[in-house]
Amino acid sequence: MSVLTVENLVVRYGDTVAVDHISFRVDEGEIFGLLGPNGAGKSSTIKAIVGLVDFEGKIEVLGKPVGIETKNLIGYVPEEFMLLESLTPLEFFEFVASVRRIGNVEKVKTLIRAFGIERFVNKPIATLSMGTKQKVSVISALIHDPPLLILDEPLNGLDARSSRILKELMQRHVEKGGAVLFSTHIMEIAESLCDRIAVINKGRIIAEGTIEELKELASVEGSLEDIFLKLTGQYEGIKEIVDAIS
Amino acid sequence: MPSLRELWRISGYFYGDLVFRSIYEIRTHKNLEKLVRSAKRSMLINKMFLALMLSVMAIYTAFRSNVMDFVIFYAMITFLLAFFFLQATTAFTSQNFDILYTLPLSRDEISKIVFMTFFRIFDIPIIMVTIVFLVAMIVRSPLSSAPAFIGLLVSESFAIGLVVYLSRAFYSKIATGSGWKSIIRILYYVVWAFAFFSFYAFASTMGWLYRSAEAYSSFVMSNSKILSFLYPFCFAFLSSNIKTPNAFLGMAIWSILAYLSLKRATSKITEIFTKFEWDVEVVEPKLKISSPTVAFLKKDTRLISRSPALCFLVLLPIMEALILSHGSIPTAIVVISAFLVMVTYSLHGLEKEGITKILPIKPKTLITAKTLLVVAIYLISVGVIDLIFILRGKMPNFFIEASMALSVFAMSVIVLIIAEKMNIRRDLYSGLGALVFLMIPGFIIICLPLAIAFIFKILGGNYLIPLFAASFIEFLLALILLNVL
Ligand SMILES: Nc1ncnc2c1ncn2[C@@H]1O[C@H](COP(=O)(O)OP(=O)(O)OP(=O)(O)O)[C@@H](O)[C@H]1O
Ligand SMILES: [Mg+2]
Repeated sequence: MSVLTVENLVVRYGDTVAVDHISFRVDEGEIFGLLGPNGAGKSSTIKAIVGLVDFEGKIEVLGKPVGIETKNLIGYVPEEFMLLESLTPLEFFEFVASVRRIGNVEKVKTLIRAFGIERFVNKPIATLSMGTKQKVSVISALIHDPPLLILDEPLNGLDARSSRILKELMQRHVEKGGAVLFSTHIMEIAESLCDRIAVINKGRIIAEGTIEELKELASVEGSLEDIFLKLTGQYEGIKEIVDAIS
Repeated sequence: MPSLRELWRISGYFYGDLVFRSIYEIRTHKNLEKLVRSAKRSMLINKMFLALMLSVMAIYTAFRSNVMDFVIFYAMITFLLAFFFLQATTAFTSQNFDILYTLPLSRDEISKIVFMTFFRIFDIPIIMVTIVFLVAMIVRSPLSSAPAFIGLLVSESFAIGLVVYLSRAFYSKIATGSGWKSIIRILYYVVWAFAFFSFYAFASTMGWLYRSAEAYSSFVMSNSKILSFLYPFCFAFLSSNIKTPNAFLGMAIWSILAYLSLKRATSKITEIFTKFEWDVEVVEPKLKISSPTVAFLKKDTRLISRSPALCFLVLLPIMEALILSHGSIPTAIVVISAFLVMVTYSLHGLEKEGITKILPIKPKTLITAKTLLVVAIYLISVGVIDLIFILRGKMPNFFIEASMALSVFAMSVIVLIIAEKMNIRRDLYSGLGALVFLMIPGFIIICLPLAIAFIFKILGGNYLIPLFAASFIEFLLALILLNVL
């Protein structure tokens, strides 16, 4: 069953078209990766789904058009922190959990322990390190057990242990029938985690499928990185640039 | 080896970021470019305004010979500079300079850049008032221009010391705490708001200030022996050509103190960026889940109590109540309510931040929570007026105040509904136009019942019942609108 359906999505910022008629779907039990160079439109796609930017086109979560009803179905880790910096993590979780009407606070406590931020939960978020803020952001996305997890470059700033936890969580999440949509630049992560990948360039999906399908499509042997560079037309000239620099 | 000019230029980038952050705490707006520019513009306007005001004061003071005029001038320089820029300075304490460490710069150069960034907060007012005052003093009396000039530099140094101390204090005091700690925190904000408020009141009460200066003059002159030791009196005496040994001694002592405080402030602000705190004890986390409306109320009161700018805004109607407490209740309510429209608007502006957009929040919840807060602020404000009325042996009109609470409720609900429907989620800085636009309906809702009551009063009838009826109808209308939303 489809957890997320995106059809003909267009996102504009003034005259800039950041996302240009993108369509894809993410099914139950699936980790779907959005892969693309900087400025490709990954974050804009994600922001449209979670309701941060206006869009044209159709977006449905579990068959419902996105809106206030779908907000409890999504857990979102943004690319830039969206935290209330003068609150402490604990106050922040309290706010999010209350608004999401979570009855059971044990989950929050478990997550706090799992990510090892017990020492920081009573300090203003503004004073926390980048990685700790990212952990706060991840925890706040998980506390309501959403069927759809949307993570925009979630491993940014996380230390080894926490990124391992997050990766395992993502896998556990889909095993239980959830779905994950996440964006990344890091090929190895996409390769090892994703069931399917969409390659985005200049606001359009230029290829979509499993790693094997993408390999066939690009007709290159080798890593996802090679496929990616080939597909986005960035393959040519790399050697020349490196030669010129060194 | 970069030149000083180069370092100054680099500090400009950090300053740009600082200004942006001090005004917009989180960036989820649509057109960032425009916002960055408008942030810079409003900071520049603020600075020019202060620079102009201080310069006018400097010229005025330089051509007077009264000791008290100089006293006021020096004291004002210290307080205005410090409080006017407290917000930017508080943002400064969370400025990130990490990138500098990746550049080929020495530690010394980095601290220079950090300090320059800090100085940029004050640059125009400080430079302008210093030049204007110096020139004006030389024109008036070259002899006393030297101590006057030193007095000004000392005042500026104290201002910088004060602002660094205060913003550091705020930064560490925003940490949670119960009991005493939270009382102390509130005290901090009251002090802060009062001082900031003195700036606001200052523009209108300048004349009064100088007039009372004359009244205090005789007191100052008769106690000149002790006072001439003290800052800012020693400089004031010397500036107005009263040269006593005590004043010279005072000048020497306070100059040294100012130098030390400036030095300490400089090292403090460069030190902030290398400090870590590891010694935190682990406690079992406690969470309390409440209803969404209560969660919003809690969140907003926390945000307000931790942001000097917001805290000031919320205290504004209460301060206004203090000032107006000698007038009539209806006038006071009208003025307070005008500020309440601004408060409503700013409370709503808090939600411009992305986080509330991704949470399942019904507009009704949001509007109810904000409105409850606005009504609470209204009640506290009139409470202050009542208290002063009673202390002065007059009876406040509880009936008018209570009916007007209904109108305040209606005002808040309707202003917020319009803002939500038109998708205006801004703060005072980014959306002044929208504020003016929302002020109109808000103000009409407040004034309508009072106007009706006024007409009835002129006609000689009972005006209390029409007042209540009008407010009550507004209240009902607002409730209905809120529920069909
Ligand atoms: N708030 C904004 N205002 C104007 N233009 C924007 C805004 N946000 C994004 N853009 C533009 O939209 C395009 C897509 O940006 P987006 O953030 O979606 O890219 P991305 O794929 O997430 O890139 P990255 O990998 O760097 O995060 C870019 O050209 C960007 O400049
Ligand atoms: Mg992105």
